[in-house]
Amino acid sequence: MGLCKFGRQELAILVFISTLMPTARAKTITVSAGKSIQEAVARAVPGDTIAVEAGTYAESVVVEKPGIHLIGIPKDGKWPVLEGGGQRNDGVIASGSGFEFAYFRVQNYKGNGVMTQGADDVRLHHLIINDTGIYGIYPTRGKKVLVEDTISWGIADAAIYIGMCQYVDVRRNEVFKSVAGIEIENSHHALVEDNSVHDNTGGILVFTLPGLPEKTGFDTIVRRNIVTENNLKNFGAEGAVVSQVPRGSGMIVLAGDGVQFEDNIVRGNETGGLIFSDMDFMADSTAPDPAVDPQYDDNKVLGNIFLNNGASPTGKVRLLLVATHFSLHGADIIGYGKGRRNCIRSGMAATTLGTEAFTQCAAKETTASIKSMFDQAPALEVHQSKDKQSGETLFNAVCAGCHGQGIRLIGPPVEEIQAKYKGNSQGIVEYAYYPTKMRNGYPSMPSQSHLGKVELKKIADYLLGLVPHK
Amino acid sequence: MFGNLLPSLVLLTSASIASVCPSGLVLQADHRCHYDIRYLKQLGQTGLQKSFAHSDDGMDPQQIALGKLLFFDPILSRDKDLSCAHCHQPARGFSDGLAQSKAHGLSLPRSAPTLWNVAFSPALFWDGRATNLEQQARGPLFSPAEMAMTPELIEKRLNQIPEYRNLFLSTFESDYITAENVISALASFERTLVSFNSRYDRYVFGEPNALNDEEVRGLNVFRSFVTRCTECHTPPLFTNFQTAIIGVPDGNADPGMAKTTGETRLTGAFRVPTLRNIGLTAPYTHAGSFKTLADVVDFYDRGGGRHLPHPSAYLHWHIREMGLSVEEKKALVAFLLTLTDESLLPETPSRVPSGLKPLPGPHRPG
Repeated sequence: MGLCKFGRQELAILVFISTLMPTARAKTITVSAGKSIQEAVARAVPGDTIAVEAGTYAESVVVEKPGIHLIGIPKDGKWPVLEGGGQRNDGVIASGSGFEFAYFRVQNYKGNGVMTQGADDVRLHHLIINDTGIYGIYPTRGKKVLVEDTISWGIADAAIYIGMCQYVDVRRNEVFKSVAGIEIENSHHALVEDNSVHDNTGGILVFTLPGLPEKTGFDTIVRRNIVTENNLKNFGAEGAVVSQVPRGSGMIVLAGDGVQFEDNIVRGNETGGLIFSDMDFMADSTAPDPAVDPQYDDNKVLGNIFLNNGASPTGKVRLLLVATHFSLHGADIIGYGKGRRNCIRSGMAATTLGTEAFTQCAAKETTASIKSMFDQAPALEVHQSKDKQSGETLFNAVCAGCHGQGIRLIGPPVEEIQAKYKGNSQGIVEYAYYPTKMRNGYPSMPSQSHLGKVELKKIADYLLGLVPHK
Repeated sequence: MFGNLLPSLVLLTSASIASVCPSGLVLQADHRCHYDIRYLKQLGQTGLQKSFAHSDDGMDPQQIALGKLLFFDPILSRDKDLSCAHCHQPARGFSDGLAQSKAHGLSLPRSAPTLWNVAFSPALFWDGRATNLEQQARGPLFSPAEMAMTPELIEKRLNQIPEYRNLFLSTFESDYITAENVISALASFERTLVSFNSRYDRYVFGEPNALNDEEVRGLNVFRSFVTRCTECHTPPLFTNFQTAIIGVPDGNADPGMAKTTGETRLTGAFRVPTLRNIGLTAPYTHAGSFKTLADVVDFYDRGGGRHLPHPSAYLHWHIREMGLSVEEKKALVAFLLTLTDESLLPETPSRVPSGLKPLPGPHRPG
């Protein structure tokens, strides 16, 4: 029994290593038009590339193995096309980590274009996706996610939907004619940059919704996007949260925390350019969740250019404006609810409504130092038995993303924790096990109880022994 | 002094029997039983192998063995006619095969939830009103409609049974049996009821032939965004531990979570149940509204129920008409049946210390 168990763990480590490192054994399996991609997936081993030639592939592809690269080979303007024919459920579902999907068109599915479920280290790029039902590109429950250089349209929910992920870059995509362009939901550490977002009902949404196992959403940068004329009539399914997004919403923060907007061009969105709202504004069709903070806090509007937003508000925003501001016009920036510690850079020439409680952001504040969230991810935890992990490994893998040395990242810096818990590592263990909101101005720490108290003690001892960087 | 000699002899025997962990758990250096579960083994597992969060502080092997005897012992009900196992029958997926459980010939408002993998649930009862198994046990034990006990009556009765006194002495190092310790032992036993060795799990961990083609198709329908099953019934526990309003008619306007939270918008909201061993626990939903899994699949395929017991309550936003084909629905049911695994089913003890009959009671339909 003991031997057997050990063997399995070693095997797991080997399998894991083989998925991370391209090995000499990695091969390319080529699929020609008329053949089955799924059949090639069945033959592939971790590390392999499945190269798909131009042509139409009427199938749904499911990838459970880790380390699979599913790469199209467009030629002379012709693409490999995954065709749902309005009949099939999803284009691609992948649950293996290290999944890469690129150079494909995906169209006419009933469910999603491409979805990853619980997979880490996912790269989805150079894709053209249209009319795929609920979501176009939907990674969920993953760490390290990249969505780059894609075009998608005609989606009844979000064209690009990041759900409960961490360390995400969404970069250089064009999304249009969808209910929501890009939605970042209950996720942490996301960068939404250089996207073209136009002619949707709502352009970029950063939401923290109730009823999901992940109870917070924080640390998102929305930067250098062009968000124009998102005035499409809402065609979301009745009951879906996005069906309540008012037509003409450029960008919305719903109960989201720590979102920073910098250098976006926001023009011609008829309800509002950037709308901050508490939970009840749009999510009242969902059951309430006492574990979710309903307010939008700690958000920053840095240098952006706004033009001509709010000309003709619709939906709840219109009702609200009439009722509270006696106005039929929206604004570039609208605040609704009781958000705390939000700020707007002065001198942006933006029109505002309901933002009286916002302060002025510090003049030199910028997100420029952060080039990528994906690259910032702590090393993914490796397959090894728990007792082999030192406090240092665990700290770097689990804690260092939020607790820096000598610097405030998401949570308080290491030095502050050391001062508070000097000689009391058990205190850290108890706190990390059942965190309570301790400081204003900081998001709540998620419980680390999954690590177990033994591991937490190792981390706490390591943390208390850390010496300052020099 | 002499009186203590005999018990300590028994103590030795029982202690040596009980220092073994049940299958599926491993005795570690802390002399406690820890889970031996693939999904808890390693950090960093992803995809279908993704580990789930759980702090395994281990369980005391003696408490587990003692809790098992208590679980099957009708001495814990006022009329000595109900044990925990009456409504949570091992042979019926730790449920009872009834739409609504019965006690003393009367129907209770809800069905008995399974106990498989109950250790990992942060909320218990259909309305989530208990946050741990110790709290939960007080519900049926002290409810006048169910076991109708009081802490005093538990202590009075059990302290009169020498075998229990000896077992508690060796387990809790006190020769007075407290209701608190009874509950603690029951909870320890319940935490050992784990199920992660189904054909589905074998498939996930690298046995492609553990599922047949139809079952794999069913898994893919289950994961599809046409059905969105995994959004709430998320592997590997097949629940996300949230609550949802799915609008099943229950005939008695059950307030569900509204009563727990005081929030009327949660009227008719219930805990998302695990689908582990779902093939064993018919009928389904909090009120046993559906006899078969095919009925449940049909219900969701049609877009869930429209039975919303309060005007401010909304159907869960992931539920909508699916338009599944007959084959897809059949495959979905076939897949759900692959989640059956009773490899760690505990044996029903042949006798319990009270001398009462340890087996589940007479109302065994079918």
